Amino acid sequence: MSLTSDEARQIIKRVLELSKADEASVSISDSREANLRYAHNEVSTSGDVTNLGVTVRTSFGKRSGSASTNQVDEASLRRIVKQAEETARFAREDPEAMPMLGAQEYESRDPYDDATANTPAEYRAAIAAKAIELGRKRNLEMAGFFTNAGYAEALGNSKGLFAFKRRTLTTFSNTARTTEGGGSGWSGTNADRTAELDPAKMVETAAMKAELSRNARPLDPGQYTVILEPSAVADLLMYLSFSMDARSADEGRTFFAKKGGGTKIGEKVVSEKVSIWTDPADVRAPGAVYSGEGLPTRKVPLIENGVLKNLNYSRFWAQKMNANPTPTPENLIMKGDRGTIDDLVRSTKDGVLVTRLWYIRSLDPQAILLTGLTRDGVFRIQGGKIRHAVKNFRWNDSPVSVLLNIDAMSREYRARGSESEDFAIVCPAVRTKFTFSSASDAV
Amino acid sequence: MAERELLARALETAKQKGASYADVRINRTLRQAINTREKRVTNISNNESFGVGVRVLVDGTWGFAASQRVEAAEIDRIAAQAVAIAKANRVAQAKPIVLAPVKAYRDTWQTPTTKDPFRIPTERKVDLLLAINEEALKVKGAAFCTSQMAFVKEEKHFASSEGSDIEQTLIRSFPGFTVTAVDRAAGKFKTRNALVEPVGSGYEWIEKFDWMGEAQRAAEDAVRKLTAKSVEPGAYDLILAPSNLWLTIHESVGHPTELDRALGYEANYAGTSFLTTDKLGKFKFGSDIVNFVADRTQPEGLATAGYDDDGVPTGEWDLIRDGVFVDYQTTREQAAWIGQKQSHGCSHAQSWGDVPFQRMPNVSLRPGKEKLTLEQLIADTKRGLIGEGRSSYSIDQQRYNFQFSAQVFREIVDGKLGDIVEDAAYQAITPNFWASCDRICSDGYTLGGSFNDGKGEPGQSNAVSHGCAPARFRNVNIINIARKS
Repeated sequence: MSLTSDEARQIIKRVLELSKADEASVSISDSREANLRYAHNEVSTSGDVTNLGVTVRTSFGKRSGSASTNQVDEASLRRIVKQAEETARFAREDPEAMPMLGAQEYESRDPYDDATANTPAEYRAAIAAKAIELGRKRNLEMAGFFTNAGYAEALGNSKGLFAFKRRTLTTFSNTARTTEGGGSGWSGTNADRTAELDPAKMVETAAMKAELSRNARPLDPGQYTVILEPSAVADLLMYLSFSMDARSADEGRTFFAKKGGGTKIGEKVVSEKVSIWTDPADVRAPGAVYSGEGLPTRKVPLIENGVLKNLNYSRFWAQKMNANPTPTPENLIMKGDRGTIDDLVRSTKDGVLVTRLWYIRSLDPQAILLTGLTRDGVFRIQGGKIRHAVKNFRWNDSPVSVLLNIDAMSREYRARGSESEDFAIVCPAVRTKFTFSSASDAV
Repeated sequence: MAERELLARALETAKQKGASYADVRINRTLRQAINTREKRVTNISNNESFGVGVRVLVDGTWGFAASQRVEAAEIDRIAAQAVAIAKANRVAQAKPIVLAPVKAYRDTWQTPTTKDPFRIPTERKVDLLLAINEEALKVKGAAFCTSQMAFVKEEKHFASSEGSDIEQTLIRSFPGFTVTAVDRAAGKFKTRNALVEPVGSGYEWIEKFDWMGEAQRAAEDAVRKLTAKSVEPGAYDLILAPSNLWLTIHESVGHPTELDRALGYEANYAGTSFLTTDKLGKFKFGSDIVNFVADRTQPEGLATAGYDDDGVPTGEWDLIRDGVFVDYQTTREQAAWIGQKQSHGCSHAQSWGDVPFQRMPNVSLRPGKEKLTLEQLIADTKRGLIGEGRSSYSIDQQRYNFQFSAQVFREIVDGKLGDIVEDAAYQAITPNFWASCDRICSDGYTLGGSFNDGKGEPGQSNAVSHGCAPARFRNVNIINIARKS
């Protein structure tokens, strides 16, 4: 049973009563997270964990401090209020301190599903057992991970703001490896309700990719026409979004900084085929009704027909630059085209299909140049058909260059990147140019 | 109810419900983070997390449940829930889990520190961070400086159905800063991080570091990087300082010698390992002078503790001896997988709410046996680069193909240290790289480390150190990352 709005309100009221600061805010996070992991064709670890966190932030003029605990007894609440107030008293005056927000109006969305939050252990075990059974039958080693979770969060302050949000989340991923070690396939996604997942279909996809990726042939490094599946696109979009802080751009230290000063807002930065936005009301990847300090979330265009439309503005920087405060996105939506990934393969004369990316790290933030690996299924496409598996690569490339060189896209999918497991992203598979920099024998 | 009584109650409930083995951990973790930029304090936060986790074996299958409510009724509930989960999971268990034997220990242990960072006034920490920023920004061309300190104090109380009762207090500290130089006219910026590492120690370690000297050097390097020449790609003799080499050790030696990875238990996430069990005792991992030791007793090590989270006393053992791969990292569950009778003590859970599993001990490169300083090594190098400080790092899912950069690369020409070069990264295949190691200094052994090393599903963080002296690698492939390939 997750924390209710009334229960959250009571805790917040109590903490605010304890504070003697000029301003105080209290945030609460309640969670129940359950999971099951399997590997080597047997169950490995599992768990069911409940937690409840309370964070108080206090301000005296332009000095502020915060403290948090996961205990809600009177003594613990008193302790964190005292600690936050002492920290605030000793803190330096922050010239950028902003007054706390007053009461706000929020949309009434509640993407919470009791069945998902309370999925029984037997359900999780059955998914593992079926995947393992299929693995044994087809001479594959299965490893996978299933989670279901329920979250409730609340925020309140001494200026009358109160916000409450709940959500559920379920994730599933499965890796199939051929027993001789030569082939590997993966399938994974996240969803807001357990009922939206189709684990059996995903296990089959991973098994098929593992079997297809046996006897992978080497291909020379270089730039190729590549179809990046939605998982790979999701990771690149995440890294692009990490660079979208307005202040850093204004300070001349991101890709979105304009030469000579200012930002690239209004400039064409990628292909005109590309539009990316955040929309917490999108039912395919619902986001929360508020973010951070309690600002209501809203639809924000980030890139429209290739033109940079918006960056993320903190409240301070928005005030300074005469812009709208724009919190970091709750979700990311990239516009796709029509057709499936298979349709995209069929329309490709000569190219490489990449299932997903791995171990992505920044090489040069100025160009958002990244490095990483391919993993769990790389295939050569010739004449609209998958001809054979290709060995994995290290790649050095940039989401900017990938989005600049797009020539075709599939429809939109709910996607899960390797480094963005819980973040809600909807995006297409894309056909683009991509640079493989060296070969890797890793499977 | 006293803590020890709650622990006993958890074990008793688990046993009554059908567990053949149970352990319970009541943990309290304190975290403090202080962040500044230029003349501003951008964050001071203090966090406390307290809770209890119960792990059980039923018919050789694991179950685990945890809660932040450390009270009798809730402990009964989670102990019963852990047993129920284990029973449900039996349907997917191939063979029963067998734990390697361990004695019952009743003991206490704590990180040897003289200054508990949580007892140092916040003001003093803020003053130091702002002084670092000020010192860095004195250098002409340095535009921004962010600095931070993070501290962790873990109080862990472990009890098992086999009679152990172990209390430990672990302390870790992680200071650092980043200087940014910007050339707005050219639309360029460069950064340089402090060459300073997190440690398993208290505030005394922060007080002995030369912060002002490092702030000045970092700022000068950041400014110099704006106009430094771009590296000419090709084969170079590469000297790596400990501030850079530790991360290469972590990724290319630490992770592939994890037994769970080698057997496929991380296949769905972190990946597997090219060091499969058939290579144990035979595979030539590196040159004859390459020796790696795993050690959870090393002073100031981030993974240093008295006991692991299975209740096994920590120790030291060889992973690579005279260039040959000789052993893995193991837990009680894993020892039998490779026919060993005892665990190496590598079980770890990041908190009360996480299930223990195999995590990396401190893994270090032994210093060279021949007397050799860094200065002598540079003098012995005709055409090379020397890399300092961790930067971009990426390695594949079997730990073969890696690509690492550095905070600063400098040229070495005819035995003399030259200027900074930009855009360089070294790319190699793990065993080839370690086979190319031809000289390791006897002097200059230093610990580096990772404050947050990720592994597992759900993801867990572990802190781990890696010691080494400067070492040289011959004919390493240096790429120019600005040229993409």
